[in-house]
Amino acid sequence: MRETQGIVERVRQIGGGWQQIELTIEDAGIAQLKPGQTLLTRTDTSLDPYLRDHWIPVNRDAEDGILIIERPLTRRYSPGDVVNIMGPVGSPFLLRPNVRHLLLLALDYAPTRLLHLMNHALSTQQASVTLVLTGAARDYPVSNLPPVVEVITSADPLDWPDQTQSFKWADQIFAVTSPIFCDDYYSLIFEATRNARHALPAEFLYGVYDLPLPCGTGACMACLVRYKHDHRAACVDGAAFDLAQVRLR
Amino acid sequence: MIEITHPGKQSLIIENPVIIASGMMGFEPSSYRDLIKLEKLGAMVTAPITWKARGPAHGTRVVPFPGGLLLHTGLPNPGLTRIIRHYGKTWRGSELPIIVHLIATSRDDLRHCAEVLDEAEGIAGLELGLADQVEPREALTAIGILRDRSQLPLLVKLPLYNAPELARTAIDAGADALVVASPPRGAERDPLSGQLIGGRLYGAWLKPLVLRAVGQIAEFANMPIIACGGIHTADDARDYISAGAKAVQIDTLLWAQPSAVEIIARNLGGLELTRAIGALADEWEPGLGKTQMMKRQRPAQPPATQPPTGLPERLPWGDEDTESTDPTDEF
Repeated sequence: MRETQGIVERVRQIGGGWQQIELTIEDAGIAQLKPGQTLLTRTDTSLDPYLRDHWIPVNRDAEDGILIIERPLTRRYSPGDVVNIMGPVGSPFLLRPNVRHLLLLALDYAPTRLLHLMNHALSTQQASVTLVLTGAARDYPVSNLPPVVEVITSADPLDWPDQTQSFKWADQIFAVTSPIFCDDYYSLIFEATRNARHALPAEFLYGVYDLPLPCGTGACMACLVRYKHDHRAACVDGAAFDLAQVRLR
Repeated sequence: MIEITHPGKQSLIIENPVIIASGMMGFEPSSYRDLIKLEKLGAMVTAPITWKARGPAHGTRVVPFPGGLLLHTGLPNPGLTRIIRHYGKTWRGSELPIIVHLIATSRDDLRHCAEVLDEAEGIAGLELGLADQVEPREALTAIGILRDRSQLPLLVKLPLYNAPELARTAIDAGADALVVASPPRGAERDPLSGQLIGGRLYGAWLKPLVLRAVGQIAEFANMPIIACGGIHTADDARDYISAGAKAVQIDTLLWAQPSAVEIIARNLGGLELTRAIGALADEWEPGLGKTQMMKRQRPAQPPATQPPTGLPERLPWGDEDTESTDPTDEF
């Protein structure tokens, strides 16, 4: 974890209450974020809000050294804004090398945490990607996504058309949901996946724990996730955890 | 050098009066090595440790509110023996003195902790965290157990509600220093779940409350006081020193703005130096003392026909000779 600064180069509203920020970062090491890694930021000198904002990259332009960050439209940013940055936060999401069919589940929650992985899988592994948006996630502006991504929507947070088939053909699954639903939703998805496939290989089904991060270094232990034999910090070892290893309900 | 415990055999001496409070840096400081210069700090207090392992709290653990945050972690830790096995080597080699924070869960647990810690290496001192609702009689017993079974310097962290009363108890029981105070408990509504969550409260608003308690205790306490609560600027820390504290502990500022902690540590380090000789307080800010370098145009080369002037080939303000230095860097 290091501290550096970045500059907002461009801001673009993408609809549905979201904006994308093009950010250049002084520290080249931090600018090389991998899918799943994030930043803790502060855009002014005051300590209000007290906790740093959690900025989630959705793509990276390696040639221009630009990170594309997605933020809700609750706050306006302008080109030239200087951003104090701490990062990188978390470990990269582990995409298995043989993945051809990637299933991404945004369960009643915005899919932002999954989009960097989606773009990475499309560009480096030429994988086919299906993105399931359930419940409130349906408000996400899908017109912003690459046209090759198959999008399935459903009003039910935990059910969608051809769910069993989608579990069967997937080579790997990543799911994200609200921090308050992680235990319940991941338990149910884990059971549904296991029933569909009869056996669940290791590193197949990951749940993303998008928890509030006071420190981002693992020191505060506010983001601990219960594993079968110990606990892991979402800000260091996560945010994606193999649900076969997590102590679910 | 600042002696932050009662002078004597069990004295704890640190180089800077700024200490990282319990729970802020985890069990060892390495995760902050790239964020602040650890050698500028006085010491760190570990996250709370119990004899038996404790898991994290269920449900919401963090609720931000204007000007601060509520934290309810459940004090997770794998238990003292596992912690020593895992971090003992790091503690022995740490550039920062390590103070172990213990929670008084039961008398037996405290006895075990005291015995194990007294034999462990790399520990500069103990800090006993007293529960908010602790009775003076229970506090007296808990401190007595540690005092009897450990030779390590013993700091006692007092709850804010009844800090002056418990300070007298801690002094009577043989504490070496008083830490004033643990963050108070409160409740706030979690915006995600809509539930009311209870936990400890942090933020700059806490400072006036703790400052009053420090002043009250300093009037009668004949031992060092370490102030803890709401420090967000060097002036906050100086206020505590003025009120009678010998050192300060910094809490959530470390998470909110880590670089500010180093600024406070450098400032307070300077304050200690200048106060010792009766001079005005020194202050340090990033970039202070750096020489502003200007690009000067070199004089045109003299025509070859002119006689040599005797000037050196390289001008004294060339880049190589005027590297920017920070004279205040080594407090």
